[in-house]
Amino acid sequence: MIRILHTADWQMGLRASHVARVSDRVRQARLNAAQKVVKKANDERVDALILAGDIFEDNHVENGLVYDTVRILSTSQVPVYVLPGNHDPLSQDSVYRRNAWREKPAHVHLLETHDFVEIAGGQALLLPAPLTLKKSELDPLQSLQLPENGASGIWIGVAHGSLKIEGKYGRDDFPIALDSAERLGLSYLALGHWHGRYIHGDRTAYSGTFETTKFGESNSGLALMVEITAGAPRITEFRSGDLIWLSHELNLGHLEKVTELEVARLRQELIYYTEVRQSVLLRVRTTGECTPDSQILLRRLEEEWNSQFLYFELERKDLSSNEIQGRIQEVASKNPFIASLLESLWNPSSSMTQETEQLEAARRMLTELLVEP
Amino acid sequence: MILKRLEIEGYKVLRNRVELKNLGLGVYLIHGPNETGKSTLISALSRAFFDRYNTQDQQIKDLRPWGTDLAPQITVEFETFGKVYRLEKRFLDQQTSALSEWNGSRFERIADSVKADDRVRSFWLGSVSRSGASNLSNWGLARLLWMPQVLTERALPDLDETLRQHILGILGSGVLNDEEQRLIKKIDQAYEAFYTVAKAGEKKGGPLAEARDRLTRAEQDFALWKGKWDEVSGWNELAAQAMSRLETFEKRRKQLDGELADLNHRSREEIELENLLKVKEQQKLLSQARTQSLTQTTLELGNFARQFQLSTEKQNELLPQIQAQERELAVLEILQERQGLALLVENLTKIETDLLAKREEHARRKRPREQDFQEARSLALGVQRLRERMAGMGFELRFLPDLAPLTVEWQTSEKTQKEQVPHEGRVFQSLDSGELRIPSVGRILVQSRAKGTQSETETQLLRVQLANDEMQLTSKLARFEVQSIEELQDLRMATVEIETSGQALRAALNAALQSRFASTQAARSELARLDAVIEGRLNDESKDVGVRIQVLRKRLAESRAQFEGAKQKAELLQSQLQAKQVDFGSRQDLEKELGTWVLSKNSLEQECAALASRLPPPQQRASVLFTLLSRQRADALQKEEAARKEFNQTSALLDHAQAEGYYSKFVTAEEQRALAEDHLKHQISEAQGIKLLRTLVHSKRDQMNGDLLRPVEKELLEIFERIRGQEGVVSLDLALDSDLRTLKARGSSSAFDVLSLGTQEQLLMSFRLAFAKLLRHEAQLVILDDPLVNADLGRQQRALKVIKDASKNLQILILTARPQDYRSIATYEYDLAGICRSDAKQII
Repeated sequence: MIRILHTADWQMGLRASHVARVSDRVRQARLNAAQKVVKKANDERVDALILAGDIFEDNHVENGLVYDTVRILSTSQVPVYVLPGNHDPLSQDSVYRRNAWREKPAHVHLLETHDFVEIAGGQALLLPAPLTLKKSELDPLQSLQLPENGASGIWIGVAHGSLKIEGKYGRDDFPIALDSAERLGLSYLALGHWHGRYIHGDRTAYSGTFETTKFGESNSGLALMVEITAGAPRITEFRSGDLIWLSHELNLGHLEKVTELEVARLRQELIYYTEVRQSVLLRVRTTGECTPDSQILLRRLEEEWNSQFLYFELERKDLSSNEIQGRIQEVASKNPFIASLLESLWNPSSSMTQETEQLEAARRMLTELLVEP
Repeated sequence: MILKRLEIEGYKVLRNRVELKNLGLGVYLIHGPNETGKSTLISALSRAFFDRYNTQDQQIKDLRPWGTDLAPQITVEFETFGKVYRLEKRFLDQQTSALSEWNGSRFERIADSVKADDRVRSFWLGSVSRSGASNLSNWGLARLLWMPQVLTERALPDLDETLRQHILGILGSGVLNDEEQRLIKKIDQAYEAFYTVAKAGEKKGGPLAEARDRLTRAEQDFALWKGKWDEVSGWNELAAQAMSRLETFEKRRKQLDGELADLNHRSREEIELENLLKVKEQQKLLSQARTQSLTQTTLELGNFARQFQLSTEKQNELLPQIQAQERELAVLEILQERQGLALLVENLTKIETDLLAKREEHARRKRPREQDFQEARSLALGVQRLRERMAGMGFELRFLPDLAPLTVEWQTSEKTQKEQVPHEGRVFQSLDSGELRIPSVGRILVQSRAKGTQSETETQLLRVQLANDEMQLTSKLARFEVQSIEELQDLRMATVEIETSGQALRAALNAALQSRFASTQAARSELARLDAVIEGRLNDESKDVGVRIQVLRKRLAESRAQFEGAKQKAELLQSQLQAKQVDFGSRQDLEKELGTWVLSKNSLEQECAALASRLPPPQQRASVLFTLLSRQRADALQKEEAARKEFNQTSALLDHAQAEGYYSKFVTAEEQRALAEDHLKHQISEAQGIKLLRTLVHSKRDQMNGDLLRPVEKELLEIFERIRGQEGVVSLDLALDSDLRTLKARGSSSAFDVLSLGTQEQLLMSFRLAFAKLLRHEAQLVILDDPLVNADLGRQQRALKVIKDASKNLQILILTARPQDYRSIATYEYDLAGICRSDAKQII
């Protein structure tokens, strides 16, 4: 039996314009996660640490970052095998041709050819399928070099591409046949490219990205510990991600207190992360009808969570309620001019031709101005 | 509010105490020459009402009469909302502000210092928080009721929201409460952060502009780094291409190096091989030449022998042919003779047969003699003549039918005959009578009239003689079995011919037998003998035997000639062969030597072929290929160097890009752009929201303003029209803007300033009077500082009337240097210069 730690899609130097406010922190987190993975490999004394492609976001990331990455990999006490992926293909301008990479220690191996490699003292063979292009319609495993007939033992394929599952792959996205592992006689096929952990059959697996890159990437921030014997491999997950990406939905209700209850529920859910708020990226998507009171509540919530969490994003998909209630209603009852204003905004006459967005913005602003101290 | 008493001391030109007392409703004329302090009066009044008592403003300091240390002090007693107050105010030194209220017996202090000031300002509905008479907007209602002398200060007042709301409240219209006003203020402030009020454009330096600028900068930055990044991508591509070429050409060059090394080795081997081949080729050529010479000789000898043999064989071949031809010729000649003989025998036999037949014919027939023939001939002539004679006798009937042909029957005594009569008719004869029977017509009977006459007798005689002659003739002819004299003549001629033919046949037979045979039988015997000789060839008989004999004779001659030629040639060759053999000894020796040379030649040829086969074709020789590949290597090397140079150059650029951190800068620029986009989106949303909000608010407030403006405008125009009288050709439709700041022609952008100075003055005065009139909740103080300076006499008179009428409910203070202009309407008149000297003079 041998044990490997399977990880992929490190994407060092990630482009993070979608969370631009905290992009440096997001990039730094990937270095932290890399240290975590190497430490795990050392602690578990695995036979090999396998990086199944896209170690770098781009072939032209800064040398400093390459040095940092090599430095982290150098701390590995087990052999490391790095496969070039579509983000960092082994093209002429590959990051792996740089001096910064060439200074890696001997136990960090670049899988730069299709030649199989013995690991674990010859107990197993790694059959790599390195990429040299950013896109291709060819199955990367087509070029896999199989040992001559008669060779036996554990064969581990290492590749980067998309399993050909309808709706989940693109034509030029290095499509990989679903039965590759069985057809090629592999004991395990370690894949990279998909950011969510996905296990196909009993011996084909994506570890997912080791550190989540964006909201909605489920089953990410993981690495896989794989024990391989003659039978099906035993796969267990290991949480490698440093950041926590949370997406929640807040269904605003036009009825009194509904929003408060929803917010309370969300707060309850987030209690679990209280100690690690500065590692949490939180996106709350609002739906339903937003009353002026809900608007006030959301504004306060935004202010509060912006300061508490590493990153907070309130994605407004709600629409204003046409009913004026609560505090605003109270204000209106005492101020006929304000009441008239509210009426015009919440129940606009047909002569008002403003875009919904502008109307919503005006409603929000009026609500906020009315409740301003 | 109206004034009850005013006392001023130590205030600019009013150094001494000046007091106006017993003031009430009506027109109060305060006059004096220029610089006696008329306008100072208004100034002192406004300082008292709107300045803080403790202000140290330079303008306050300037109030101190020049060259003195007097402190400006003003005491004002006034009535408002049914109460009378006294304000005592002293600036600069021993500053005080005290407000007292008349309690029916005395003034009772109700507020001091700041509180007193604030309370007083509130009477004027002025700003509580702001003070200072220097700013006209702090004057509250006074700004709407007082008309200073300076034109710029006469302009319509700035109406703040509080005052507006007070006025609206006074006018009984809807008003905004404090919370609503605060909201509007906040909306305005928020709006003004984004937009300019005047042109509603985006405010320079505002958050929207700042966000746009930020995005523009971010986009520029992004474009810059994107451009550089694209350049890097281009360099990457170039580097990749250069490296690809470099590897290709390097590989090619190395391959060529290997091939050239092989070729070099091959070349040495090929040179050795070529040298050896040359030696062998020379030896081969020598042996080939010798072999060829010997072969030629052998061939010649063989040729001679073969030709000799051929000639001999030819002779042997020709001899039986000649003999056969001779035999054939003999047979043909016999055949020819036999054919002649057979013909002869046939002719003889035929002649003999004919002769025999003639003899039999001659013997069978009764042959008439010449006499018999002459007798018969004589009888025939006699019958002929009788018939001709009888023909001229008797009669003839000529019948011409209409319808021809027509068959008729003619019957005479001698015969009855049927005749077919043609169209031209027919003649019927008879010696005596006749009957012509015509079918369907009838019979014609003809009878000769010679009956019993001589002629009839003669006819009878002739008829008997004819019968007699004809009987003799018939008898004569019957003897020779003929019918007519002509047949008899033919028989006579045939007898003569038979006799003649028999003679000719005998002559021919004799002629045929005359030369060779004694008789026909002898000829037949010879023919039988010849048939026996040529037995079997009888079928070969043909008519062209003669021709065949001629052809055969010609061939025979040719064969004999060939035979002779071959014989002579054989004799010649035999002599030549004998001559050759003298040079080479025996033919066997020659062939043995030839065999030796042939073996040598074959061996050398095989060696040369083997050597040549080891050498490639010339164009594939190592030396040729070496030159070719050397050129290719030089080319590959050149391209390799060029690719390396290009790769190094682009790699240097890429190194530079990495050293400069293009990637990070590109990524940062991309992120900054995203942030700027979000920021701008947020700002636009805020700006649009506040814009809409403000538009709504102002729309609603304009609606409310209408409640204020409409009555003011109406009253103003009424007053102004009264002053204008009938002079105005075109009526003015003036409108106030919502802030009462400007007056302009309704629906036009024409400014108030384009009106004449007099009209402006009168309008502004009308506005004060109109406004004061509308504020009817209490009597108002209207101050007019020389309001009709520019009015013509007519307008002046009408204006005075208007002022007089208005003064019933108002307190109107008119300040002027020309009291005579207003004296007619004045309730009281104050000579300011006089007051300064002594007490005021009251005029009623």
